[in-house]
Amino acid sequence: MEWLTSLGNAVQNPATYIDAMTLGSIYALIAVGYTMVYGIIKLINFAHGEIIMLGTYIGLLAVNTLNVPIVLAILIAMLACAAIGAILDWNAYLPLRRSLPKAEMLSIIGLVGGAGLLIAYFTTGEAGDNMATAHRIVFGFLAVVLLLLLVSTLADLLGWFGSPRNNVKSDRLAALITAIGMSLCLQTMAHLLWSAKYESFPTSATKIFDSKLIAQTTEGLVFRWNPFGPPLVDAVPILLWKELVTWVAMLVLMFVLLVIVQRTKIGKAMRACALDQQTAWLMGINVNHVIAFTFMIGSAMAAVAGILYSVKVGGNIYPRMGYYPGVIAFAAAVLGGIGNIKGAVLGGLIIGFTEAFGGAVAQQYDKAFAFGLMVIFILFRPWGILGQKEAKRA
Amino acid sequence: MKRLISILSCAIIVFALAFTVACGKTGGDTGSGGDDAAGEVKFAVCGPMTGSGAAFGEMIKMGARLKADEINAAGGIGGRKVVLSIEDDKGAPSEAASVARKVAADQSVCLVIGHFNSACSNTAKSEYNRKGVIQFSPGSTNVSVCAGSPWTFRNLYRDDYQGTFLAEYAQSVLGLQKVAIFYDDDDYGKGLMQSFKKRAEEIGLSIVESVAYMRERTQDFKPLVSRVKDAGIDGIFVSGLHNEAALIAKTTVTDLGLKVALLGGDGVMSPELIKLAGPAAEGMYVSTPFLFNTGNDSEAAKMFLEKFEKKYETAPDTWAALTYDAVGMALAAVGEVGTDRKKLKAWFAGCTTADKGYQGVTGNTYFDSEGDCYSKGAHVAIVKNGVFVPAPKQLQK
Repeated sequence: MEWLTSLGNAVQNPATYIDAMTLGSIYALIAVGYTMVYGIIKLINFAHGEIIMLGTYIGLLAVNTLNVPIVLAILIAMLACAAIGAILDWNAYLPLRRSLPKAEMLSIIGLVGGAGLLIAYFTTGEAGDNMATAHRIVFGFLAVVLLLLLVSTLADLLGWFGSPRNNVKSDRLAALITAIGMSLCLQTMAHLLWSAKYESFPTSATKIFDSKLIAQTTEGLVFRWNPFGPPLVDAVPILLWKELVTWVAMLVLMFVLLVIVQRTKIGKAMRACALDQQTAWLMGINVNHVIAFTFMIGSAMAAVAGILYSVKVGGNIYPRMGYYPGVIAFAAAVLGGIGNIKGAVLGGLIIGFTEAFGGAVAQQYDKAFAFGLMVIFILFRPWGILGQKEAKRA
Repeated sequence: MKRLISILSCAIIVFALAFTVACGKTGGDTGSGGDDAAGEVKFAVCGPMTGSGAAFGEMIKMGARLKADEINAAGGIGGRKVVLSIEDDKGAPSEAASVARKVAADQSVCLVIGHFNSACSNTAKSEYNRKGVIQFSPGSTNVSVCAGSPWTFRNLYRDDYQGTFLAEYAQSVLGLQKVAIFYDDDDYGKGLMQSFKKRAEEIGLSIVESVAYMRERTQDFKPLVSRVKDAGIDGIFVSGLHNEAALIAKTTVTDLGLKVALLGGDGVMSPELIKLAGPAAEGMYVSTPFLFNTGNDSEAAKMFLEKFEKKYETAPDTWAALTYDAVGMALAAVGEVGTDRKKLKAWFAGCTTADKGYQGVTGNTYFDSEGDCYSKGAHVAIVKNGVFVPAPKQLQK
């Protein structure tokens, strides 16, 4: 029973709990983004992982080019990601929620497709280099997407799409496929912008986060409450500042979020939209604004999670970095009951603990434990821990 | 109005199609013509251009381009222009298989430089053998890469040599006694770990634990390093690539405050390691088949260093130098026997003695009957003030 002894060791070791809490907090922050969007438009936003990635890159850019401290970089990334979330909704999902006459749709696609290929044609690379050809195709594709976004926004302003109407039910599948498409599109864009190379936050920027809060020395436990003071040398770290910061960030942001949802006017509108969109429209709520706001909040949380995750593991910033945290947080959202904010936090923490303790038993299968737990829940309690049982689920 | 728009859109779609065709055609023009004697000499350069090994791919690309541009500037090979087709295997065996199918089927490609990752070379070699095209790797060190594959060659040492070398270095030069190994669970990481472990057991260097991780999947190394923390180790050996080595170094030094010697195989040998890990990489020992600034660099190495830095404004690494040599050797072969795939193979297979070998930046390259290269030794580099420098003590063998 070797695994039992490893589990026993993990249970007695405080480091496992610290790790589980940190991971769980990060997953909770991401899961909230999934769950809020699902709660309102019943869409699994598969591009959420890419928002994490974009937020982390923006934070890295802020640190590297503006030389701001990392806390400020997190704020910048939050604001930028909120904007990205809103743009994503307006341009990728909003047009799908509205009716669109076919002829206009075709003409737009044709127009934009032609222009995109023109651009593709003139973006030439070095001869005989297949990478250049691939780049040309990708650039062309991106040009098409960007122009489509531009034209659709323009067409929207001119009223080509007709008056706003809600078609949420019939378009759910289309929105899901669009989400997957946006995920690939954003990943490729990051690839072109920042290359596939791995990046990490410079050590000078994360110095305070990396410093020890509680450490073990020969004279016993030492607490060091001032992270700016002289560093503790020759001490084995027990708790690092970055871990405490992650927990506190999660708790504070969740508290703020709950206050927004339960106590403010926009929060009331969000709850109304989640219950019944048609009625919300009739009551004079601009549902599209509320949905955009939901995307903004979820994306800002994702930015925080992405940066804290990168600081925790010590690097790993690359275009596909959002994939694993994204799918695991999705599992957490399902576990807690998708559509329920408290459920997402609970699910995130449970998944964090499962991963930490499962990993202590069999390291290579840490994520398998998390997904296994999700499978069990889908089999026996598909509505999650705190979710509402629905009569029909599409 | 609606009709007008539809007609307009149809016209544009037709236009667009025409452009696509035009696009495709220009792409084809550059690729054809390698078959006839007066055309171009086309090599495929396969490596991890994207993915976690992209830093290696970039160096490989730059090294190969530098050599090709040099030859083209001097009038090409017998008046024929050298063309490189850069192929991306993403460092993944599944991608390498499809790249190999594509490259081997293209008759204008007379030779393949690559792949880099051992797992990729191992997967791709059956296709190259079936279609009969030389696979010349400037980076794969796994023991089995050339075995039983007459069309596969490489210009650097094997992992059994490297693992033995590192284990001996760890014990006799660094004086380590208890070491933990972290290895990438693929052909390269596993093979190097096994040979290191085997030699360590022979010479009495105790291995506490060999911990496997999955490249691009294992992101958080804290639980892994924590496992070996309390075992009283004095060294950690990373048998994998630079990104994971950087994460392990950071976790070990910053998160856990362990004071142990860090060692890495040549997969760690990339300037990216230092960029990613920062001060945590200081003092890390890395084995490498070739090293610049050893104090007695050859003229060729000095020239290469200068030309590379002038062209790309960055310092070359080991892999850029090995690829530069691989392309150079392949071009020397083409200069002698032309672009026929069979004749090229006969030239490579016949290159078995030092006097027939190719004298390049990294030393003299010639092969044994399997296609392995034993003519270059191994060096140890240490990270000092943010750059790789030769370790003060090298192992004399």
